[in-house]
Amino acid sequence: MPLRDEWCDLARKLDWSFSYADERQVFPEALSGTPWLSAQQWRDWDEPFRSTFAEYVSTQQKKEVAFQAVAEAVGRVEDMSQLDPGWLSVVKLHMATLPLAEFAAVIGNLRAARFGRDSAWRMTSLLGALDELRHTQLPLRAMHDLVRWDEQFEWTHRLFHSNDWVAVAGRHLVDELLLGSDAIEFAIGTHFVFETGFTNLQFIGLTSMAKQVGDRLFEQMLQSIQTDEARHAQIGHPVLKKLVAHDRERAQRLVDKWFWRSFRFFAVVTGFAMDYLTPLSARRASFKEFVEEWVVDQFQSSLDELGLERPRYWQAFLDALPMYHHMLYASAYTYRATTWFDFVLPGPAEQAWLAEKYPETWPQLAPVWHNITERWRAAGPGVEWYSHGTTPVAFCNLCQLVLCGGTPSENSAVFVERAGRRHVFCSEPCRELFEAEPERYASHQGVVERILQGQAPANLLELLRYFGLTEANFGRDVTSGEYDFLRKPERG
Amino acid sequence: MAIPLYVFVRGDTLGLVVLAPETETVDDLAQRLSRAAAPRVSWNGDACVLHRGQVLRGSLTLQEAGINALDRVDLIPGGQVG
Repeated sequence: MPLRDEWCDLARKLDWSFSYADERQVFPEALSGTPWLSAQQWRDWDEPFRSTFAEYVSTQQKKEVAFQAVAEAVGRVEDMSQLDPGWLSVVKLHMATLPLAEFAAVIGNLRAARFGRDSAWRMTSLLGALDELRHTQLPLRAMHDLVRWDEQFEWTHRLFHSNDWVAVAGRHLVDELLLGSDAIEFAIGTHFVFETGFTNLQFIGLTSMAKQVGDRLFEQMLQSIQTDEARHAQIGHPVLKKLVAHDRERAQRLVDKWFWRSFRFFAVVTGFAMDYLTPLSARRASFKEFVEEWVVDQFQSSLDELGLERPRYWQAFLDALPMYHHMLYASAYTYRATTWFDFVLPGPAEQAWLAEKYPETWPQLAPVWHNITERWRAAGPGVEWYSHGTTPVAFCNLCQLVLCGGTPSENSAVFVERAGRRHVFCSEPCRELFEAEPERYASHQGVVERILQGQAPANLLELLRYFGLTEANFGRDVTSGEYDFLRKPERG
Repeated sequence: MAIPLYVFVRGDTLGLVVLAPETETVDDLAQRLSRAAAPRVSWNGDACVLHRGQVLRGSLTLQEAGINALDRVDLIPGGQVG
């Protein structure tokens, strides 16, 4: 065996026996996870990258140099201002959600670096924490100089601290997934489901789109992050394998839950980008096609390999795949001032593309866009309010996203009475997940609860201020209604 | 007193929360819901308010119709009832 491999195994698998504390005290179940297994039972845990700290530092240093070079060469205002305005909204959306999620992931990885049940697992989690810290810093660094040009880029930093509804929903997810979960749930929810199952949509799908639109900074950043993710995501598989062997039911339950919650999150961040904000000429495939390739096929084969069933909400996910993000985008378009990025009105060419990609659902959505388009046509350029809602929006008490489940003809919202309080959910899976662990969720104050209790204003303009938005940075239509197709009367 | 209601307008893409006076009639509520969804949905013709699976008479007040705070109310085109 080469000396490096010999040394690596010795260093990575460095466990010892405790003399003055019990193993259960050192690794309490509440933090290390259920089921609690002895160190002996975890001894065969391993992951394929087997990186040493020295190798890690050397590799990361090269990645940093490459990223800095690209940022300096093509990440200036004069470069970014050449990009398509819809694409810039993709950048603003992602650059803001990345630090929010990645910083929480630092904490989750650090918890696993202390309470993970095998030394190699702990070592890989420590590197994972360093990765996630870097992923927090990369967007903050990349967008910093752009703030003086466009204030919306400041939301790369600001979203994390705001009460914006996207931040409320994002924090609800990452607080539970990354901050509140034990080491086992973290490994399965984050590494196996979120990173292995879904982040390929971002880091591979969006990278190819970034290349198409000529955004080398975003492309380089995503590639740089993806190589880290590919490494630390490997923690998930061996933890799940161990869990399947000792508590198959819990393993399945964690996969079921985090699969559904991850899908809801990516429908916003990736669904919007792939099907609406990216210019048509740069689209390689639809969101649905990417999900079918990267999630349906690949994730399913990972589950098969482990002898697990498809997630419990698989059919609900397949039903929602061609509809949910469209419902959400049309809703968000007509509440665009509640976000920090701008929205694209799909014109005839974009709608034809969407109709081709989503033949089964687009006919139900086309009337909504027809109505929005006609309101723009009637109001004229610059009159944003005429195609903008003013009534408060309802949010799901689990995922905290807008009640956009089901179809335009049948919204799938469900209501539940519990302990004298009425809860509303966007879908059956969200209701079921809430009711499985009500103590985890019941006290959370969503946007509507805050409004009803007088903590947040009901008036939309006041609510925007509560969200942290001002006239200088709230979302608009990317052209403020200046589209060629709006100047010509619609035929037919 | 105004009460908050979860509302869903047929053809719309999301649920909304409206505040409506208990003394308001169902017909007036229908107008309110229609205005709330107007950026995305527009209908020609009558609309009906559906509450707990029943179509409500337009002349009733919300109180008379038994609509309580945080109830679900649906607005559907008149032709789609039944």
